[in-house]
Amino acid sequence: MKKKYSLIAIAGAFAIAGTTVMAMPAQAAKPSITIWVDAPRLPGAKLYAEIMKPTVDVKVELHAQADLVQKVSLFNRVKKGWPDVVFGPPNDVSVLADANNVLRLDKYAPAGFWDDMKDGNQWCKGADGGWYCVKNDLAQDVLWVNTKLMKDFGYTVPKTMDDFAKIGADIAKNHPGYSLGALGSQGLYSGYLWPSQCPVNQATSSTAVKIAPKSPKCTRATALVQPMIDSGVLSTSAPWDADFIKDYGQANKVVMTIGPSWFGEFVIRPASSWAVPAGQITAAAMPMWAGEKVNYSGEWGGGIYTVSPHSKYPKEALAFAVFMVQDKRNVVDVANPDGSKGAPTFPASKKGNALWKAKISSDKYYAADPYPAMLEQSTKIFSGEKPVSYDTNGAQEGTMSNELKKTKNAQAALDAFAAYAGNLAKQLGYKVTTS
Amino acid sequence: MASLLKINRRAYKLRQENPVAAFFVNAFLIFFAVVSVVPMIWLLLAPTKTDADLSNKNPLMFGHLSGYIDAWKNLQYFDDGVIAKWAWNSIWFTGSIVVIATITASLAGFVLTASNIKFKRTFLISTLITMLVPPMALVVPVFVLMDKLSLMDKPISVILVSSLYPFGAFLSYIYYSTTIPKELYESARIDGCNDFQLYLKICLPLSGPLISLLAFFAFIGNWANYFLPYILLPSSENYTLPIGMGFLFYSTPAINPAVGATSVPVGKPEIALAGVLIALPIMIVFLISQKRLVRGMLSGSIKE
Amino acid sequence: MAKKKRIGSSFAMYAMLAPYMALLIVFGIVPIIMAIKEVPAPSRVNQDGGWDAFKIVLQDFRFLPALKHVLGFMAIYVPITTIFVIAVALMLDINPSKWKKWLRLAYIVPASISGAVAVLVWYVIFAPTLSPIKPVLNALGIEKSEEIWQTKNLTWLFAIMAFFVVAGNWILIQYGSLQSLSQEIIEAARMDGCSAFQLGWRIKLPLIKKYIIYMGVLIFAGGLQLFVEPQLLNTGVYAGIAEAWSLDQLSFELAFTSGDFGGASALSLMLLIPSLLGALIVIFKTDMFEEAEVSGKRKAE
Repeated sequence: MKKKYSLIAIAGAFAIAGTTVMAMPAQAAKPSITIWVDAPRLPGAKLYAEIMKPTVDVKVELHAQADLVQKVSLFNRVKKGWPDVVFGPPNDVSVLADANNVLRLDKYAPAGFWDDMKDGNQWCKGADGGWYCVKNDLAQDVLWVNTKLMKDFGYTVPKTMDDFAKIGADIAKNHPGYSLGALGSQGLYSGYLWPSQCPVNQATSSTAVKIAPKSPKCTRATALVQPMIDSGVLSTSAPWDADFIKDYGQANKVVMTIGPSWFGEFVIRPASSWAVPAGQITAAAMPMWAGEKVNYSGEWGGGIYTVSPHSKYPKEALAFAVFMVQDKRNVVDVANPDGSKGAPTFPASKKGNALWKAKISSDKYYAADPYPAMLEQSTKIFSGEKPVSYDTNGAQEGTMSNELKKTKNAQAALDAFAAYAGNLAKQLGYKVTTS
Repeated sequence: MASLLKINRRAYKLRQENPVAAFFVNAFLIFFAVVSVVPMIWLLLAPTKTDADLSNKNPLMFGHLSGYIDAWKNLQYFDDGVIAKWAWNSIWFTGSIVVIATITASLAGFVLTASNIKFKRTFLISTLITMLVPPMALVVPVFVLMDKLSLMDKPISVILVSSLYPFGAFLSYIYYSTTIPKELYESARIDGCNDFQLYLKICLPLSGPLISLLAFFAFIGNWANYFLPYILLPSSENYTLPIGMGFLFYSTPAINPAVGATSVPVGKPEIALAGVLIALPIMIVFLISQKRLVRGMLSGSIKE
Repeated sequence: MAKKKRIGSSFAMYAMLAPYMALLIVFGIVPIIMAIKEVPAPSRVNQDGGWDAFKIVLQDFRFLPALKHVLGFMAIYVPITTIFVIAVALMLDINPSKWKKWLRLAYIVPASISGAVAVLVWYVIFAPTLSPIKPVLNALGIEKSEEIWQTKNLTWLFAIMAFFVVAGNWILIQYGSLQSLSQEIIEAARMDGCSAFQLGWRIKLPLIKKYIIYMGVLIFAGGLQLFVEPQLLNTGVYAGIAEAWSLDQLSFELAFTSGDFGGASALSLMLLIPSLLGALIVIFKTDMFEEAEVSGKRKAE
C-alpha cells in the first residue's frame, strides 16, 4: 500500500511537480477509522469499507456487545485503542457517557441529517439538547400475526390485551401445542412490561431512577401473562433458542406474537430461524391495555451508533453511521451471507425509512403489507423508559430472563430484575424509588 | 524389567485374591478412559461436518476431511482473517515465554544449588510460596502495575509476567542438587572455572532432561492461558487463540443464537476448529511427555 | 574457608540469579504492594477513599452470592476431585490390565480441554440435539439444553468442567507417587495378610499423605480463582446466567465495569490470603519440600 503511494508520488513528481507537493500531505493524512459492529450490521459495514477504500481506511471489527463497557474502560486506562464508532444497544449512550466515551455529534453531520433524524433519534438527545448518538433503527413492538393459523382457528386480531389473553386461553384449551410467542431474552420486558408502562427503567434525572415492580402497571402485565406461561402458550425460552425454533418456529405453530419490527425479517422469515412459509405473516397494531387511550409499544433492540471523543476523525466516523441509516446500498441492497438483502430493521432515518418501506411493502413474502402497523407503532413507543448508566439490557437478559426460565413466574422474574437493577443503580449513585 | 515384574506380581495378587473386584476395577478404569476421550473425539470430528450434520447425524461420525478446509475458510470471514493473527500471537507469545522462563529458571536453580549467596533461604521460600499461589490471584494487581508502567496492550507485558516461573526455578534447584554431585563443582573450581563457566561447562551439558521438563510445563501452563492476556491485551489484534475463541463465542451465532443465526458464516464447525487449534497442541505435548509430568510434579520428594 | 565463601557468592552468581529475581520481585511482590496502595483510591462507591474499600466490597450486593457460589463449587470440586483421583490412582496401582499405558494416555486427554474450549465442549455434551451422550441425556429425561444450563445447576457444571481439566494429570502424578513407594513395606504388609484393598487404605494412603495434601492445596487454590468458564458462559452463551458469579468475576466487574480499582484490588488481596495460607501449610506443615528447605537452610548458615 505504502509502496504504491510512493510510486504514485514519484511519478507525479516527474510529471507535475507542483501539484504532487500539494497532494502529498493529503495522502499522508488519509483518515483511518475503526468501527465495531455486531453481526447483523457486518455486511453493511464491510460494504462501506469497500466503498470508502480510496479516501478513508475503514477497519471493521465484529464486536459483541457483551464486554463493550469493560473494553472501553480498559482503553481508558491504556489511553489508546478506542474504536471510533461503536454499534451497541440503545442504553449504551448513557453507559458509555459514564465511561467518558460519547461525543456530541451535532456539528459533524452533513447538512440536513439531523432534520432527517429528528423524529427517530429522540432517544439520543442529551439533557443539553445535543445529539449524542445515531439510532440505527426503531424496534417498536407490533403484533405479528400468522393469518393462516388465525383463519384456521377462527380468531380475529385482538384489539386489547384482554382479547389477546382470551385467545391465549382458547389456544391452551382447544389447540394445545400452539404458541403466542416467547418471553425469554427481552421478550417479557419489551413486549409486555414496557408497553404496559411498568416503571422498570424510568430515569427521572441523571441521578434518579424509578424501578417499581409492584406498581399496578407492572402487576397487570405479569398477571396477564402468567396463565399463558402456565399453559405453555407463552414460552419462557428466547425466540431464537433451539427448542423454541424446533417446537414452534419451524413447526409453524406460532399463531401470533408480540415482537419488534425486525422480527419479520430476522426471526420469522429466515430459513435457519422459524422459516414460516410465504403468504402467512403480517403485522398488526399493538393491542391496548385496559383503561388506556394509547396502544403503546416497547422497544427490543433499536441499536445506536456512538462516536468516541477520542476519535481523530469524528466526521468520517459519523459518516459511517449516516451511510448505515440512510444509504440505499445498505438499507435495501446489501447482500447478507444467508442470501437476503438489505437491513432487517426499521430505519430511524426518514430517508432510509422511505427506501425500506418500498422494499417491505412490495415484498410478496408477507400476506399483507406489515409496514402501516410498524409506522403507526413507531410513533407510540412509550417514552417513560430512559437510558441509564448501568447495564440494564444485560440485567434484563440475565436476571429477568433466567429467573423466568427457572421459576416460570413472571412477577418473580420482574422482582428479581428490579432488585438487581436497583442495586446496580445505587452503586452508581442513583437514587432509586420503588413506588 | 524389574518394575514390570513388580507390577505383574501385584496384579496377580489382586486377580487371585478377588477376581470379581478385579473385573469391576478394570471395567471402571476402562469406562473412565472412554469418558475421558469422548469429548476430544467429538471436538476433532466436529470441523469435518456441517452445522446441520452436527445435530442430525451421529455425533461421533466422521464427515469429510474437506470440512476442515471449509471451516478454516469461513473463519477467514471473521474480521478479515484475524484468526491467523491470533494463532501467530499464541505461537510467538508462548514461544517467548517458554524460552525466557526456561533460561531464567534454570539459571536460578543453578545459583540456588551451587552458590552461597545471601538470603538464599528467603529466595527459596518466596519461590515456593509464589509457586503454590495460582497466577490468577495476581491478575488485578498485575494490571494495576502494568497500567502504571504504561505496558498495557503491549505483548511484552504478558510475556514478562508469564515468564516468572517459580515452579521451574524450584524444579531446576531440585534437579541440579540431586544430579550433580558437589564434588564436581569443587574440582571444576580447582581447575580454574569461574562461576559462569561452572554453569556453562558442568551444568548445561547435563541439563537436557531438565530443559525439556521446564519447557513442557511452561508450554502447558501458558498456551491456553486466558485471564491475564484478556485483561492486559484488550485490542483484538493482540488476542491469543483462547481469547479469540471466547470472542467468537459472543460475537458469532455459533452457540449464541441471539447474535443472529444468518449473518455470519461462523457456526459450530468453525468454532470447533478454533477449539482444535487450542486443544490439539496441548494434547500432543501431554501425550508425548506424560512421564515428564509425573517426574516434574513429584521431584524433590521422591528419591529414585 | 573464606575463599570458598567468596567463590560461592561471586558477582557471577548474582548476575545469573538476577533475571529470575527481577521477575519474581517485579511481578510477584511489587503487584501486591501496588494493589495495597491502590485500595484506598477514591472511587464512586468510596468517594473519600481510604481503607473502607475492604468493607465496601464485603458489603457489595454481589459479594455474598459470589462467595457462596465459590464455596459451594469448592465443596463439590475439591473433595470429589481429590477422592476420585486417589481412588483411580490406587486402582491403577493394583490393576492387572495390560492396557494400563493406554488408560493413562486416555486420562490425560481432557487436560487439554480447558477454558474456552471446555465451555464449547461441555455446552455440546449437555445439548440433547448435539451430544455424543444423547442416549444418556434422553434416559435422564432431558430434552432441552435449558434444563441443564440453569443458575441452580452452575455449581455442579463448573465443578464437572474443572474436574476433567485437572483429574487426569493428578491421577498420573499420584499413580507415580504410589509406584515410588518402597516395595519392602508393601511386601511386609502383604505377608501379614493384608488384602489388596486393605493395603491401599491402610498402608499406601498414609504413605502418600503429603502428596495428597500438596494436591489438595493446589486444587483448592486453583478452584478459588474460577473465572474463565463462568465469564465465557455469561457473556458468550447464555447471556447473564453467571453475572458476577465467581469472586474473580466480581473483582473483574468492579475494576472494569464500575471503574472501582480500589475495590477490585481489595478483593484480590482478600482472595490471596487463603492461597498464601495453603502455600505456607504445604511448605511448613508437610515434609513435601523438607529436603529443599533443609538443604537451603544448611547452605545459608
